[in-house]
Amino acid sequence: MSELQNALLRASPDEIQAVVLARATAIDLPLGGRLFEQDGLAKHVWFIESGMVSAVGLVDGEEHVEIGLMGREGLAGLSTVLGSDRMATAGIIQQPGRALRLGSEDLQQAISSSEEFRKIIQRYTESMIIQISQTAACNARHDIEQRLARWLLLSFDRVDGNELAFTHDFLSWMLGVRRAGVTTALHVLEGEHAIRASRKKIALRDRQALERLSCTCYRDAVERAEAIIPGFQPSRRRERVI
Amino acid sequence: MTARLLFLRRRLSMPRFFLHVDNGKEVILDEEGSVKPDYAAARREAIDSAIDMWGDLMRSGRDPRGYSFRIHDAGGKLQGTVSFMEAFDGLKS
Repeated sequence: MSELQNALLRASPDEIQAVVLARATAIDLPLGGRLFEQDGLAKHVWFIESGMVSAVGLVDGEEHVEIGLMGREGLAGLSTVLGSDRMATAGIIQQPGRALRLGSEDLQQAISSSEEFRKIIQRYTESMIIQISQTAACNARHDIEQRLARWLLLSFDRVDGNELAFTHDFLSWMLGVRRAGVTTALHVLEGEHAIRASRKKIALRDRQALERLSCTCYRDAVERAEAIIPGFQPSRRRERVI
Repeated sequence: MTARLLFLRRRLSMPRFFLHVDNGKEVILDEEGSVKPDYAAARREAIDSAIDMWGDLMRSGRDPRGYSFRIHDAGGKLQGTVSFMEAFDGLKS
């Protein structure tokens, strides 16, 4: 295993890093794969080393709407952190990568053995509560172009490079709108030279332009996440790729 | 398993429709399209999309009344158009 990429583990004491590396299983995160199902058994957490995972909820028993986004700044499987038996959401892989999967007993043991690690995990949990509540408020008040810009920024913050592999269909169920709404909103963002959208790829052209087109929820989310999550500083990124 | 195979086979044999958005000034191309049983289902998707998009367009200062969908088949042939005004058809008072 090369150097740890996960921000929570990097900020953790050496002995916790050693325990996680000894007890966790390194797994690949294939695009579109599912880490866990809503109401499935909460047996693991996944410390994300690269790639991106969405927490999605069922609506009307079948359709999904995204409620949280996790990358290498965090972990997937908050229900396990909180000691629940069942997962509150499903976990779907948005961008491929790798993760360290740790069993719930090993996690709880690590949390009780280190006050510092417990605080790191608690603060991350708090940051996810903030992200989830802000997503709910944002979905209720802001239009699709602002929400799409915010969602793309949150995604670009969690991957290396300036490209995301998303179909419009996938974006439509992430944002809980019909596909035609996504296509039209992407066209607006593209017209403002913030992104370049092709059939299955969205490239960032001008981060500041995309921030202007987003609602203030993005800036709020970044400031709050940076204050809480160690080593997570997307506001330092200032890409302009024409 | 058989049921799933039947579902996949039925889906594979269904036509794909492309819902291009005409905003009165330009046509925003739908490059992905969606698989539908027939043109009537594609038309229904267009009307449902128009209903969804009315509020967002108005909130962002755009007038949806001049918008329409141009529904093309996989061969690129125009099958029909749906004005966003048709979102009002069939509404209860």
